[in-house]
Amino acid sequence: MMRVAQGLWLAAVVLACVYLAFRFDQGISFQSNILALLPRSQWDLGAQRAQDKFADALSHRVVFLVGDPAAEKAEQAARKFSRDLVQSGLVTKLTSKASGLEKIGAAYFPYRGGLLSVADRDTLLAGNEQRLVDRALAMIYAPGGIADARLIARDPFLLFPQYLMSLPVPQSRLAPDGDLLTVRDRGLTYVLVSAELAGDPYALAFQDRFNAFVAQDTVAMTKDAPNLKLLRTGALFYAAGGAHEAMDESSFIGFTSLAATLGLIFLVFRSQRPILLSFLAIGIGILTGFAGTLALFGEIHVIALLFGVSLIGIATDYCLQYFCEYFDPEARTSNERLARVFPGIAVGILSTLIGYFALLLAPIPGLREVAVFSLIGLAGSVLTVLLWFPTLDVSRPPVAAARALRLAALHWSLWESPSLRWLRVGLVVAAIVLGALGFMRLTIDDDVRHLQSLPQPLVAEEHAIEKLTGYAAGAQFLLVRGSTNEAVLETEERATDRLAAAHRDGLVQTFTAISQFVPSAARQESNRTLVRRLYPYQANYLAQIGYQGAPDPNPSMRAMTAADLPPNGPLAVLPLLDVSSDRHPAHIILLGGVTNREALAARTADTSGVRLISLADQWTALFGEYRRYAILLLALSVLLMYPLFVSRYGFLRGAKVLMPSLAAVALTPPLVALMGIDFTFFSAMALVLVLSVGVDYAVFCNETMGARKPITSLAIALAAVCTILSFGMLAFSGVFAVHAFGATMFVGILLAFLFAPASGDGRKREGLRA
Amino acid sequence: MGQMLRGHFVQERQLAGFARPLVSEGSFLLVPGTGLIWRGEKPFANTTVITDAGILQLANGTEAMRLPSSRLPGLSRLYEVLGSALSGDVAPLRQAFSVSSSGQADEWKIELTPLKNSGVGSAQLKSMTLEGSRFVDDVVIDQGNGDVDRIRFLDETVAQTALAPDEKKLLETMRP
Repeated sequence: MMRVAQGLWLAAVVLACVYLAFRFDQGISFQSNILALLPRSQWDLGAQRAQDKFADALSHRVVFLVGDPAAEKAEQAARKFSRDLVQSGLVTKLTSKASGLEKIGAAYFPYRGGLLSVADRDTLLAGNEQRLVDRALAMIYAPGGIADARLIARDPFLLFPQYLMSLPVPQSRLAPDGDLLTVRDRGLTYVLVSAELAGDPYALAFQDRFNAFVAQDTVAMTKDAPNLKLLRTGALFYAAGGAHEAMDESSFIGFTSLAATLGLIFLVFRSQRPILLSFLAIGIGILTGFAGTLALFGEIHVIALLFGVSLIGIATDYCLQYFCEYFDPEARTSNERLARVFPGIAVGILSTLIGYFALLLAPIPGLREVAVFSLIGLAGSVLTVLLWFPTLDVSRPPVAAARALRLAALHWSLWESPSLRWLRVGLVVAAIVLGALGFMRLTIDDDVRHLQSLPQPLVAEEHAIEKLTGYAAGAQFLLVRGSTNEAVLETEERATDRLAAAHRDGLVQTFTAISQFVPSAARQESNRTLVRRLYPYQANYLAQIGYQGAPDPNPSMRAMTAADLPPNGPLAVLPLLDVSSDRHPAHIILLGGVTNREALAARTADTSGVRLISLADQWTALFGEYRRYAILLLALSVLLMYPLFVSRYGFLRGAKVLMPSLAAVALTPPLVALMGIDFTFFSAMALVLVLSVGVDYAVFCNETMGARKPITSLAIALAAVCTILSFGMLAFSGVFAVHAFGATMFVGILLAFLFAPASGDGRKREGLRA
Repeated sequence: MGQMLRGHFVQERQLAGFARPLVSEGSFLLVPGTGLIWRGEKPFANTTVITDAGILQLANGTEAMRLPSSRLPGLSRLYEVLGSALSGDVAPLRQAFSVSSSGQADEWKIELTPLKNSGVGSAQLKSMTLEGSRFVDDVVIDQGNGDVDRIRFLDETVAQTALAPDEKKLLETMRP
C-alpha cells in the first residue's frame, strides 16, 4: 500500500519536472503587471472594458526626448533613433511625426461647411454676424495676410482658417520644425520621439530586449553627440524597474532564508541528512507549486513567485517536526518517528490547506494564483515528508541535544509551572497594554501611492518630460459612453461645455476630447445652419473688397467622421481616446492639471453617460475593499477550521487550540502600528498566514505529551525561527507593501510561537478520550 | 539701427482674381527687437500687432484674431523679415534669403529670394524687393501665386518720444 503511494508520488513529481522542462523550453512568460492582480470591476463591465482598453493602449506608448545643446545634433540623433526603432521591429509605428496644419487642413477642407470654431459659433448664436464680416475684412487687408482669391471663393468669410487655428494642441509646448516636434529649454533643444510598442510592456523578455536596444542605440548616438541627453517615460520602464526589483528581492530573500534555514538545521542536528531531506521536500514543493500554477493559469505572476519562494519558511515546519524525533530515544525506526508526528502533521496541514483554500474564494485573480501555488506546493512538500522520508531516512544518526531540550522545556514551564504564574500574567498584561496603546495609533492606509514605491529617477524623468512637452499622463479622465458613436459625440460636446466652464473656474487646466477634432453630426448640421446667417452680408462684402467672379463654396454635405482624418500631428492622440468595443461605443476625455477632483466630478455628474475616473483613487478604493475582504477571509478560515478541531478535540478544547493564533492575529496590528506601519491589505494577507502557522504550532502542542513535549517545543521553536528568518527578511524590502507584510509576519509569528503551549498538551486530550 | 521708427504707409494688395487692388492707408510704429504696430485707418480702422510671440488683429477695437507663433513657426520668421525690411538692416536676412543689392548709398535697391530650406516656405513668398533712400520707401512682396503687395512708406521719422502706454500694451498683449 505504502509502496503504491510512493510510486504514484514519484510518478507525479517526474511528470511535474517534465512539464516544467517543456514550458521552460517554450519560454515562460512572467507577468509583472500589478493591475493583473487586481479584481475586475463586477458592477460595470462596460466601464471596466473601456478602461482596460485605454490602460492597454497607454501602456504601449513610450516617449523619449532627445536633447542636445546644438539643435542640428539633437535632430540628427532623433532621426537616427527613430529609424533604428522602426527597423528593430520593437515598435509598430512612430507617433512623433509633426504634421503641419497644411496637411490636416487639406483633410478637413472638404467638410468645412460644417466646421466652426467655438468662438465663431458663439458669435453667430449671439447674432453678431457683423463682427465676423469685419474680421474677414481685417484679415484681407492686413499685412502678411492669409487670404487669397482661391480661399475667398470657397470660404468667403475665412471661417475655415479660424477653425483650424482653434483646434487644441495636446502637446502644447512642442513646436513643429519640419517634420519633427521640438522644444528649447535652458540651452538644450529637445526633439520628441514617441512610438507604440510591438510587444507586451509587462512581459519581462520584451522589456529586456527593448531596454537593451535603447542602451545600445544611446551609445551609438552619444558617439556623434557627446553632450546628448536622453529622457524617457512609459509604462514599460516602470514595469521593468518594478519587476527587476521584485526578482532581485525574491532571489535575495530566497537565498538568505534557504541559507539560514539550512544553517540552523545543521547546527541543531549536526548531520547532513536533515538538510538534504528538507531541501528535497521544499524543492519538490516549489517545483510542484510552480508546475501546477503554470498548468492552471498559463503564466505566473512575479508576486505569486515572491510569495511562493517564501514558502520555504512554512514547509520546514513539517520537516522539523519529523527530524526532532531524533531526540526521542524511543523512536528507533523512521516509521516509528513518522507515526509519532503523523497526527500533528496531518491536522496541521489540513488546517493550513483550509486556510489557503479561503484565499481561493477571493474574487482577486492575484490571490487565487498565490493560493494555488501555496496549496499545491505545501501539499507536495508534505506528501514528500509522509511518503518518502521513512524510506529515505533509514537509520538514526546519533544526536545529543540535552541542552537544547532543556531550553525547549522552559517554553512549556512558562505556561504550566505554578511558580512562573507571575511571568505569565505579566506577559499577558504587557501584551494587552501594548496592544491598547498600539490600537490608538492604528491607522488604515489603502492609498495606492503609498503602497507602491516607484524608482525616483524614472519619476523625475517623467515629470521633466511632462513639463517640457505639456503632455499630461492620463491618470484622470472622463469616460463617455452611449448607444451609438454619434450619441457619444453629442454627450461629449455637452461634457466639454462643462469642462470649458470648469477651466474658467480653475478646476482643470487642459482637456482633450475627440469631439474637439470631430464634431458630432448634429453639431456640424447646426454649424451649417448658422453660417447661412452670413449670406445676407455676402454681396456687399464681396463688392467692398472688389472680388470678381461668383463665390463657389460647394462644401461636402456629408458629416465628417474620424475616419476622414489622418492620425498625424495633434490628431495622433485620437485613436487612443476611442475605447469602443463592438456594440459598445465609448470615448475618453483626457484631463490635465485637475486641481479639485470632487468639484469637477460634481460638475460632470448630471450629464448621463459621463463618469469621472481617477485611476489612483480607484485602486485605493479597491485596496480598501480587498483589505476588508481579507479580514472576512480570515474569519472564514477560523470558522472552517473549527469543525476539524471539534472532531478531534471536542468543542472546548477545539476552541482553545485556536486561541494562540487568534491572540496573535488580534495583537499584531496594534503592535506593528507602534512600529509606525499602517494597516493595509498586505498586512491583512500576512495575518491570514499568521493564523495558519499559529494554528499549526498549537496543534503540534496538542498532539504531544509527557517526555515528548520538549521535543515538540524545540521543533516549534526551530520552525518559528526559520519562518521569521524568511518572512522577516521581507521587512527589509524597499516596496512598502512587502515591507508591511514582512513586519506583520515577524510580530505575528513571534506571538503565535510564544502563546502556543498555552493551548495545552495532548495529555488532556487523551484524558478526554479515556 | 536700434531706434524706433514711425511713419505712414499706403498699401496696395493685388490679389489674383480681384478687379482692383485693395488699398489701405495708415500709420506704423516699428520697435526693433520688440514688434511692429500696423494701424490701418482707411478704408476702416484695424490694427495688426506683430511680435515674435505671434500676430494680433483688432477690428473696431475688439480682438478679431490672435495667432501665437507656436501654431505657425513660419510666423516668427515673418516677423524677423518684416522688422529687418523696415529697419533696413539686412544682415539677419541673409540666413533665410539670398540678397542682391544694387544702387548707391542714398538710392538703393535690395532683392530678397528665399533660400531652399529656409523654413519661410517658397509657397508663401516668391521674392521681396525693397527700395529706399534714407529709410525704406517702397516694398514689393510677390507671393508667387499671383498675389502682389506693394507698400509705400511716407514721412518716416526716427521716433523722439517714448512709447505711448496703449502702444506698449499692444506690444505686450501676446506675451504668455
